[in-house]
Amino acid sequence: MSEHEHDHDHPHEPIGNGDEPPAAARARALEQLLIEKGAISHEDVRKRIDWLVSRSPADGARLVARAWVDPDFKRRLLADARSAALELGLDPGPSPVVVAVENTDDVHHMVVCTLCSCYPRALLGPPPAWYKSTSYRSRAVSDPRRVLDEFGVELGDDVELRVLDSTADIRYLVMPRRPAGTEGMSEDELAALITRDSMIGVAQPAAPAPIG
Amino acid sequence: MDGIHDMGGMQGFGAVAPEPGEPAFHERWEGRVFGMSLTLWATGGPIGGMRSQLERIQPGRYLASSYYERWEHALEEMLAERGVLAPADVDRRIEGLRAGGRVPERSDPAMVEAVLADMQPRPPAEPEGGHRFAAGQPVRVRRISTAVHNRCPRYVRGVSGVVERLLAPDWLPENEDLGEQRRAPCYTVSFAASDLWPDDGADHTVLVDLWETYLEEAG
Repeated sequence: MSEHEHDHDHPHEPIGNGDEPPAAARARALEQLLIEKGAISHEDVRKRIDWLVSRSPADGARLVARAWVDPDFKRRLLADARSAALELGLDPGPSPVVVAVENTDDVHHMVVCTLCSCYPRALLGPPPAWYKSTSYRSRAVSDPRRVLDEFGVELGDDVELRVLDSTADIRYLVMPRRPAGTEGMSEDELAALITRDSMIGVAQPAAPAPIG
Repeated sequence: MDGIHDMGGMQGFGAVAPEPGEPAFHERWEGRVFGMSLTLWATGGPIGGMRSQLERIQPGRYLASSYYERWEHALEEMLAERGVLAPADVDRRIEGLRAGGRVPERSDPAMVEAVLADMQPRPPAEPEGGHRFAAGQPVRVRRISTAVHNRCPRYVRGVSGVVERLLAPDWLPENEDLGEQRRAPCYTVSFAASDLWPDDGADHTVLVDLWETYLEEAG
C-alpha cells in the first residue's frame, strides 16, 4: 500500500481509490455478487477467517511438548498425529492424515510444498509468507542445506536430511529435538520453547533461558 | 499441468526472506478472499479447491502477483468456469461500487452450520482396492500426461525412488479437470537427491506423496 494521503473518511470503505490494489476492489465486488446469488454469506466468510486467525503454533507446541515428556504419547504421535491431536482435545484440521516426524541427533526433517502452500494450518496457524515464497518452494528440495543455513541451522555433514514435499493431502508436523538443559522443565515451559519454524524444520527450538 | 507453480528445483529466486511478526493477512481483502474461497470449496463437492485454476495462471502474472492476488484471480476463474459469474460481472460491480453502492448484509444460519461441519476433522478415506506397490519397493515416476491438473512435480518424473509408506486412497487431482470422481491409492516415495540432481553433489533425501497412477515398477 502506498503512503498516499487521505483527505476524506472511509465510512463504508469506498473502493476505487488510487491506493487500493485492484485485487481488493475485485474481492469486494466478488463478495457482493456472491452474497446476492446466495452462494456465501458474511458469516461464512467471517467464520473461515476467524478459524484461521484463531490457530497458532501453540497447538503444535502442545503436541510436541507432551511427546517430549511422555514416551507413550510420543509413540502415538509418531504413529498417528491426527489421533494424538484429538486425544489432547486439539483440532488436527480437515486433512485425513497428519504425520509427525521426529528430528534427532542423526536425522533432520523439514517440510515444504513445492506446488502451492500445503501446511498444517490447524496446528500451526497460517503459513508464513516465506513458506509460500518462490524462493523456499524452489530451493527447499534441491538445496536444503543452504536454505537451512540461511535460517541459521547448521547441520553436521553426518546428519541425514529428509525434506518432505507436501504434494498430496497429508500434512506434516516436525517434532524438533528437545534442547539440552531442559530436563527439569514443565510441559508448559517446554511448549514455550517450541517455535513455529522448529515445527516446519527450519529452526531448532529456542534454548532455555539460563537459570539465575 | 506443467505450470509455473511447479517450482521444485527451479533456480534464480534468491534467498528466503522471513518477515518477523508477520500478520495472518497483510490486508483485509486477503482475508475476505480466503474466507470466500474456503466457503465455496466447502459447498463445491468432494474435490473442492482451486489448485487447477491457480496452476493455469499465466506465468508472468503468477510471478508478479502476491499469494492472495493469485487466489483472487483463481477464484474468479473458478466461478466463471462453473457459470456462477463472469469477470465482466465483477468489472460492472466495481463500477457500481465506485458510484456509491455497498456490500449487502445477508444472514444464512443453515449455511454457517454447513461450513462449520465441513471444518470438522474428517476420518481417512475408506480403502478402495489394495495398493499395487509395497513399502520398500523400488518405483519409478511415470512421465505422465501433463495437460491437466495433477500433483506430480516435474522434478521427480522419470526418476526412481523407493516406497516409504502406504497412504489411504485419495481423490485423484486429475478429477478436478476431467470431471471424473475416482480415488486411487497414495504413497510416500523417497528419492535420493543424488538421483534427482546427480551433478549437484547433494546428499539429502526428498519424500514426495504421489498417487499410484503416477508410478510404475522400477525395472
